[in-house]
Amino acid sequence: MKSPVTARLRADGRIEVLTAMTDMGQGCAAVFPQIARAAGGLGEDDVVFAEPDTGDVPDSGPTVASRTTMIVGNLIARTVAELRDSILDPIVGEGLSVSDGWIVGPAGPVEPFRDAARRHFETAGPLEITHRHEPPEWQTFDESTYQGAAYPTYAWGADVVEVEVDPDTLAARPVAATAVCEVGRAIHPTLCKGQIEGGTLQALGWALLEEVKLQDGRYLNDRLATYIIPTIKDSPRIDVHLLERAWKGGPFGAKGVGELPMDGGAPATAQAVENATGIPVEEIPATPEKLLLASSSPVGAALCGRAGWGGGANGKNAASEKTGRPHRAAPTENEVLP
Amino acid sequence: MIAAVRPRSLDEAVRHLGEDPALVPTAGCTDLMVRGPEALHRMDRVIDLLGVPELRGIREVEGGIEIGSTTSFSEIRRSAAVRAAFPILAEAATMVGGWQIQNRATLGGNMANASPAGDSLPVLLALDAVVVVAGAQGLREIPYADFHIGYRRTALRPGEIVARVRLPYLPAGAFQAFRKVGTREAQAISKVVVALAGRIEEGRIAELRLAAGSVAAMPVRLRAAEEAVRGQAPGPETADLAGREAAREVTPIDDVRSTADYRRFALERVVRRMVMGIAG
Amino acid sequence: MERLLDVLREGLGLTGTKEGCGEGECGACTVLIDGEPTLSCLVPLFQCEGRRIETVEGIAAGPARDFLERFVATGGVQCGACTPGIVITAWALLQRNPAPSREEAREALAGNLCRCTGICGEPDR
Repeated sequence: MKSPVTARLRADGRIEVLTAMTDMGQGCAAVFPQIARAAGGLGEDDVVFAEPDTGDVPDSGPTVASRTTMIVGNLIARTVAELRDSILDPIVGEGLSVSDGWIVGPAGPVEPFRDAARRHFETAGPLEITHRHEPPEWQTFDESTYQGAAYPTYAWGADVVEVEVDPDTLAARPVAATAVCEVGRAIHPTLCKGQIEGGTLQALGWALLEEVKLQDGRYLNDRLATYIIPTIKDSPRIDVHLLERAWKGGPFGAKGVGELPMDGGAPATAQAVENATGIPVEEIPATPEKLLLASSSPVGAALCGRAGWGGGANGKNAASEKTGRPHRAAPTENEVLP
Repeated sequence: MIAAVRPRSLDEAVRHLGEDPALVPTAGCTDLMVRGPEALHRMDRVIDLLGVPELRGIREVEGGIEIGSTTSFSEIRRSAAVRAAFPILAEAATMVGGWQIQNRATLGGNMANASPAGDSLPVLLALDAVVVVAGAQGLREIPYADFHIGYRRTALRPGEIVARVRLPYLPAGAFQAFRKVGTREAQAISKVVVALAGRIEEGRIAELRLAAGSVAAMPVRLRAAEEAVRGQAPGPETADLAGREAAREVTPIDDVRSTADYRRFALERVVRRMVMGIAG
Repeated sequence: MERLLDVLREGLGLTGTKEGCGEGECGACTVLIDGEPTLSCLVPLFQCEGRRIETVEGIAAGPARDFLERFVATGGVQCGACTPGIVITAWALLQRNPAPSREEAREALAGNLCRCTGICGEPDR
């Protein structure tokens, strides 16, 4: 995946960046301009981003696997810096640089970069640079055997989750979560932490609530009334700690962070539920219904027999009591929507 | 296009309903509007009861309080009179959807919609409510215990609507309790919902009304459990007995939200816990 | 049955109000009706006669401007689909209770689902 990014000089002296990345929550609408300005030494109004209309912009790849900030962000930094240098090169002068939108020489600010850029457009015409992602040499992946290194680096994380389990209902509630994420460098720390909080909450939902139920290949819970995701009241306090250790392959050292918080939260939650109840949690979501079933399995009964999860007040196993009525597995429309 | 009849008085409302029993009564519309385009399309005429002043509000009457059928759950949870006399109804009102739903959804709507999972319905059963029904013939009263007669079926006759609900005050020293087991902490449809009220005399349970939702085709009184513990001293054995009887007498089903086994399990334990609470 | 939501979005072009689920679960379509947070996907138009409807455009243009700037500055926004509904509900809460506790804020916002950002953090701000 080459993820091309284009930077183009406009007649008004602004640099326009074209990528297909759409901000659907990953934060690129904030982070990309930050990267472009910092890489080019440009001012607030010197860079514009084209609408990600695929008729106009190059295909920068999907929002997956550290693609947005790390790969495309890096290409933006490179492309903008190179375009800036192309504009700067014809200007005669020693030791010129660009900082906060100004061309700066040994004696101090020379002129706004945008003025020089506009002049360049008038004299030399349109200017456009495109860069494509090339994996580092040491990163080899064989497309025919699917062997090798698919990713140049990984972000790392650790999660701690504390739950309370209601002994009457077997409903587990997360009361605290801590996520420690090594992200290379946080370009926008508030958004980065927001990514991790949101991802952690989603991981908790996955661990305890979110179950895709299928019958005969069809979804039984295909909407928000029946596919249950956490509300704010289901959300514990989430403490996020960023560890920053710049990675040379990312823009200003940044790695991707979007998927990372989904990795550890659910296993941590499952372990916490097991630790609290003694019931073996072998699949998620660890719904009360599944915990009840697991507690009455031979292993579960042996492990948690003394706690008596599976038994009723009389010590009988409630889970194995049958109702005497045929079970109806398929919900009627009315049952879905009382 | 649905035509809406918008009466301004109870007389006008029952006259319309008398002339055209096919009119669909509606108020907060939170159950109506989620039925989907097809169902809404089939419904050609609705009667909007929100503009009928006689159906709205909470007032204290001789021996109890009356709640108009189009009173919202927000009004119920904020009502000082409800909170003082029937805190379990105020508590149930906080469990009906989120704030936005509580602002629109009404007590009468919850009753007439008659979902087996309606959060407020076991509370009305436990509090021995009386339903005042309005129709072309005037008003009549139905004990709430007789109001639900089957899956989504009520004792309302064609052309009748719920006008208000009367809740008789509990005697001094009476106990009441409510518990909802949902799929999540808020905005959840019940897997099991339980309410109870009663009183103790000379250290024994003199009276207990125990009711549950989502464990049968309609909200039900758990009469076997009530019967089993009447005259018993509160305590662990009585609580065990109540839970066991409750689990035995219900007929839950498997559906998209839970399983019959789990509902029975949770009901038994929740009833046991709540009956234990009587002793405290 | 014509929904308030459609009249706002299609009829009046007020697209700040979002349709999330269309069945009263997500809170994205929350507007104020006579000051009360209400799901516009569940309100038939015929019940709006004579009522004061406020959308996110209305409060953003007026009294909620400072609140919105704080909301954005503290990172209470990510993909934006749920944001207008959360803004309306949070604003309505602050009208009633200028200093809500964390618990009160969680209670008020329980009807606004958010998938991507840290809704858990918002009541702190």
